[in-house]
Amino acid sequence: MNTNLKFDQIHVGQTANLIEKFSTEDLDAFINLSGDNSSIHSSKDDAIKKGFNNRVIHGAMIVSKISKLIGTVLPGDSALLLSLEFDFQKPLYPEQLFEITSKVSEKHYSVNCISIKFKVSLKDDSTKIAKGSALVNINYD
Amino acid sequence: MTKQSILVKLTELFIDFFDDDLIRLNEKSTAGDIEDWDSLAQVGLILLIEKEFKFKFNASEVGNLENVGAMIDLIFIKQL
Repeated sequence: MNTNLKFDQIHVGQTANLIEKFSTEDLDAFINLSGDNSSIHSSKDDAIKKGFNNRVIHGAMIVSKISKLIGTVLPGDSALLLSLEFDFQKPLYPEQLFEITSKVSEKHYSVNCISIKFKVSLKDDSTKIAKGSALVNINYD
Repeated sequence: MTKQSILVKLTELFIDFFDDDLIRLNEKSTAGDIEDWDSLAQVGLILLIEKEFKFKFNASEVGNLENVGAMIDLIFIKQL
């Protein structure tokens, strides 16, 4: 069940984590959904020729899990995502377990918004995959 | 800053935020005068103004803003 945090139930420093993994089937499904079938995503041979170890997970797929974290955990159902910034640092491959850690970095009392910082890293060796931040409006009845 | 210089700065911020070089604010300007100035844009504008002028509003201050003139008055008071 999704959380549904109100603005006054959130504090600076509050954290939430997700552990996720994408399969090759997920990658194929996203290629079909997005239309981004560039060779590093769709061809293992081409990806290896370009210096990667396998087909590369789209950055937007990682961002989709950020969306999941915001919309279901922190703050949950009350979330309205207003902006998102992301830097991708290392490739993520199918079947790699990764962890998203998030922390509330600022509360904007004037407009019922929170800033959240994210880090995405491999679960097994903590390799940094991506980092970013979001501005989220807490919108509830 | 004087109220006139705050108006100039706000106009710069609005032009940048709405990506519209034709915006010309005056004290009577309201959300009705700028097509894209809706409630979500208001959130972004308030955060931009807080960042630019280096202070924070509270929710009641923001809720009472009727027009750009009221915004200028509030910024003028907050900077003192």
